[in-house]
Amino acid sequence: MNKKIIELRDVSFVYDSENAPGVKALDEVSLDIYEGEFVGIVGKNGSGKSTLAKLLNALILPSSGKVFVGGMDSADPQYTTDIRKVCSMVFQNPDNQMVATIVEEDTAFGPENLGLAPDKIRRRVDESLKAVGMYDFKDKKPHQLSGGQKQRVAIAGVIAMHPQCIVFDESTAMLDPAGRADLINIMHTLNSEGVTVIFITHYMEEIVGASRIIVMGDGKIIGDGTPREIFSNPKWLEENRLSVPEIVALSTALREGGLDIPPGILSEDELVEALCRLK
Amino acid sequence: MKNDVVVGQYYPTNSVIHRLDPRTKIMSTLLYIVFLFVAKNIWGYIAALFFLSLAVIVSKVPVGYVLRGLKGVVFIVCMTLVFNLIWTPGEALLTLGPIIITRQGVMASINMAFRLLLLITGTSMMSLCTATIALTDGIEALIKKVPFLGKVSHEISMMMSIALRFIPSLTEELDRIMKAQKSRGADFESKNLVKRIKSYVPLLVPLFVSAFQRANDLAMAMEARCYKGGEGRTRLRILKYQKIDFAAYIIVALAMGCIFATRYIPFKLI
Repeated sequence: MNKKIIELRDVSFVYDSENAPGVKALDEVSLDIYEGEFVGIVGKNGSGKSTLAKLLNALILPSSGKVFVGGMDSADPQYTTDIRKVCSMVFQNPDNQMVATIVEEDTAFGPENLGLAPDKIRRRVDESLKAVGMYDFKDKKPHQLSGGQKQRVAIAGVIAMHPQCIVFDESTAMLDPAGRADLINIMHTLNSEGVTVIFITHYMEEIVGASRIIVMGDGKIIGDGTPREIFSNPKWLEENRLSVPEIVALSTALREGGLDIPPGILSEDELVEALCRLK
Repeated sequence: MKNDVVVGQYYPTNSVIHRLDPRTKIMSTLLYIVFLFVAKNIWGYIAALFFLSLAVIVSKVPVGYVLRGLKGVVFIVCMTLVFNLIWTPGEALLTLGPIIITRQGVMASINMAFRLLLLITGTSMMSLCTATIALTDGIEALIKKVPFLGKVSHEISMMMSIALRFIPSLTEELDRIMKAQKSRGADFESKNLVKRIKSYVPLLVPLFVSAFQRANDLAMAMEARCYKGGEGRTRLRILKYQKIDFAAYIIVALAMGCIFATRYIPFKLI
């Protein structure tokens, strides 16, 4: 097994707002994430998944319990910057995470904060923009880009800091289907290059390719396993108000209709193969 | 489309002026403004106009584009003209009922009009020839040299560049809110001025709420990317004076000398 990159020990988080004092967003969650994993986190609204994401980046600190990122305790202020170097984050709204007025300047923002030398920043900016296919847009202004392009620039800004782990906090939620597919492709490429990916989303279809899925409900982890394990129980998913990917729903319906199809089918190809085997 | 709002109206060409260090351009513009006020008579303005035209020709920016900057200020210039004309005391030239137009008034308004027009054209030349990002970099580098302000130079330039970054987003947002309210019967085109102003109030509240939301999101995104303020921060681009900058400074100094010399031209044109 690989090294642990993220470790949560009995973490609770309580939001104290005027309207709803003492709402527990996370309730004694313990979780280990290992290097090189592609973890999909799903759950309905208010299940605590975005709170979880912000904890991993030391943007918020647990009310009780401990969060370790790369072995560093997030509650210790001396590690805050180092934690953010190890584990970076791409947010939901593509409009609100660009800092600079020009694409390449925005990509340079992270490395600039790390205090790297200008020629090193230049190299990282160029390679990051190329990695997300936005190099030709490096002199463009943010409002000249589409949502998907902006989100790709946001990813470039994050990978320019060379993090070991990237959290995508519903980063696809505001994009069109093409933009979404692009983003997920980039995530898989990054993952294959050794970056740990934690992808928080509403859409089950998007995490079929994950190596592990965590299902959140009411501030707790209610499911944790491979996509095959999670999707093999569509009833349970529906009870928790989570949609099932179309292919999974179709193969379940076919099986219930009397066809001899094995459970846990995830992709079109697998279903086609199963159907062809039928006599 | 409100989408193509240009902030800072940069007009890219590959002229010498465009390639100058932003600090050179900002300092030259400041000097130019100072000397517009040093100039005492019409000769000074003619000299200034001459050097400005020279700059326009060298910059390869179309003249129409430069003059377009004046469109927005015609009203202000006219107002200043009228006020100067009416309210300057002195030797009467013309009396129209209660209004007395004086010789000094005519002189003052001509001076003022020249000054304003030259000032605005000059500064818009700077923004036409300098990309916004270079402009904020230049301002940051210059503020660093100012005592008291030096310590917060990074904060000031960060605020400026974020403001520039979000102007198009907020304009878009305003447009959207307006359309949403129009679709529910709001009237933004009323002939009644009071009514029209009042109709803008319900736009401001959602706009502010969304601006704060954006600010919150942005702050979070900046923190996530290890932003800790200006300390220990490096830059992708570092401003460095080139030979052409020194040449430019010398030319500007000569030009300013000429404008200063016009103070001593004895014969009057008007």
